[in-house]
Amino acid sequence: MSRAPGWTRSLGPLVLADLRQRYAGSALGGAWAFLGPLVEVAAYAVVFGFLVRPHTDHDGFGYALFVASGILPWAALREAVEGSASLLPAHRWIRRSPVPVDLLVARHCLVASSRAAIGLLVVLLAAFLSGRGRTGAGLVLAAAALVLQAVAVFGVGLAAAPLGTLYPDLRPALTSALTVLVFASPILYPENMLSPSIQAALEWNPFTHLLRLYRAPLAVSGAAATGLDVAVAAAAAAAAVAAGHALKARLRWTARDRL
Amino acid sequence: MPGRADATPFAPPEPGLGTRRQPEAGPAAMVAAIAVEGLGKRYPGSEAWALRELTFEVPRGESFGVVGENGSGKSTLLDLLMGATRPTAGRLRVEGATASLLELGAGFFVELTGWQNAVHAGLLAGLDPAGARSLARAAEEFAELGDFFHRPVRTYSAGMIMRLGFAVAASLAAPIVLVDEVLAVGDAYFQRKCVDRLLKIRSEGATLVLASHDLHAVKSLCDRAVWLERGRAKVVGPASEVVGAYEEQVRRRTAAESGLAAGRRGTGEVVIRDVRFRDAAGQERAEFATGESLRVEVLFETTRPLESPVMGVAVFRDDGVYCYGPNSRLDRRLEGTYDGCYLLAAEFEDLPLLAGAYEASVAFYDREHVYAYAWDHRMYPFRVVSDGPEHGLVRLRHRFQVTRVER
Repeated sequence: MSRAPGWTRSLGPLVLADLRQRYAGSALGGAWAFLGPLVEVAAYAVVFGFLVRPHTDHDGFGYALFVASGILPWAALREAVEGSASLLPAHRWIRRSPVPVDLLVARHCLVASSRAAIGLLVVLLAAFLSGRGRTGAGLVLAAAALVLQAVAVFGVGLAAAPLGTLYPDLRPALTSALTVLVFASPILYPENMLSPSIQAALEWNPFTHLLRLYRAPLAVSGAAATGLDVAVAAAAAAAAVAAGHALKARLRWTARDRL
Repeated sequence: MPGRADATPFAPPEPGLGTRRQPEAGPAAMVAAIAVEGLGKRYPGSEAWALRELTFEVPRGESFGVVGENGSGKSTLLDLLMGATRPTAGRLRVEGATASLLELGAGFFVELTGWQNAVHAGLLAGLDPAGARSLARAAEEFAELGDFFHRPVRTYSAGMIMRLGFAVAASLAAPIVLVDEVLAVGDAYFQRKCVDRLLKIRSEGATLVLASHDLHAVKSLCDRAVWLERGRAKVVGPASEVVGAYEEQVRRRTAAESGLAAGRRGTGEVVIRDVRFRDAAGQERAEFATGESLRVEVLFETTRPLESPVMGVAVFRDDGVYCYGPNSRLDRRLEGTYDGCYLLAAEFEDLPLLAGAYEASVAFYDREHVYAYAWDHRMYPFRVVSDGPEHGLVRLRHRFQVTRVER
């Protein structure tokens, strides 16, 4: 088994430095990493608990947890993918340095994933405090989903980085595509509200399987997470990494020259 | 793992993965560290070639300079040598890992400290964590950044970033070191320190490629050099010759764009028919040695009688530097009435000019030296050669001596 590339050892300090940098200078500092998702969950709770009563199996707060457990990972996915598409133009110095693109993409995706992890932690905390949390395998599945999503967006990012350099139109196109993903995934609605044919179509969306894993530790309605969801998410992550590496290898010289 | 050696399509190793290769002993040591044949680079979307048909070799342990104007292709060449881009045409072979200082701050993460960036650079070069920390310690010592070495790079000035970059590149101990025009950013002390370190690197057998506008540094540090002009090699050879040729062109261009343009002027009362250069034996020549006798003969004709015209022969270096300009008025000579055709001879004995290209001006003025009857400004070129390396414009007789002094 080959040794991990040297750049992987730099990831930890880079991710920490990036996270510190985001909140540097603010009075509350890193607390914002928790406050942000907390405010988001609270907002959903107020909106869906008192203002808009969705016709689902959930009560207001339960629906807030349902939405937050989907929207936060999606936000991390969007941040990782969109950011990767803009990485190379924002770091033109990479063209004349030995720093590999992989490092920049990995750092960016890990930072986004870290924020998703913190957000989900807040959701779990809120769930357990409100008696809607489940211990045991659900927590493991949610953790697995975080890891698999991080791997998958790394793969997508490897492709998005050179593609976003060569085709600037990709960046706004990704924004639109990821917005569509919100509605093409059971983020805002439970699957059991949909017709069987649409439920079947959703099975082809890898994010659907990830969402089930994220919601495994929550006592909210929706399809229960199974081993198949783990397998599909893992396969999608592996495919994303393989495709990302292949595209990166094919495009990186042209992308570098374009910088 | 072999060095990068491919005809197009080009497939260098992944940047960032360690490719440290020890130079082989024996006949393999004679293999060029860098071999370039017909190298060309054209960027996507551009019709122009950044580099074209470049061919040279850099033996192991040699220092190679790259000079040329902005946009001549120096940075593109170094990018190719580093593996940052691929050739569009030709072949490129680089035997060994490279440590490069191509762009200020390239490869540094501004959120990390100098220490962290140095460790990161070591890890990228394939060192293990202990080796990377050792590299960082060496870089810290060389960079002399004090406490700043442990502060984020975003707090650094450009000069401090250069110190860090050079310290890291020099501490990597790579067999090939590439430096591109960043030394000028540092202060004079650190520039000197960098030059000393490059000399040490060279003496230890590493191969150095230096692209710089500092022609003195190129002459001091490099054995051979290439002058690039619009992507092509104009001259390849010993560094002093290449730099000398480049300097001459720069001087000519500077002279052409400033000051009085060469050419014929005057009111026409004197017509200059011919100007020739002769040696002491009367032989007509275009090239003279320093210390020889140079005689300038001017055949001129007056269109009407002229009373004591001021006659002068001046010498300019080809970049417009005014070397010397005697005339008959200053010498209080050649007074009288001139009406007809004459030969003026100005003899410079023991010519003190050093090697280079020069131009003579010939002028005839009115008696009061106010307006020119005829003035051929820098129209008559000649060359001077010297038999040994000398610096400056003229040879001054001199003598060195040392005497002991009691404190």
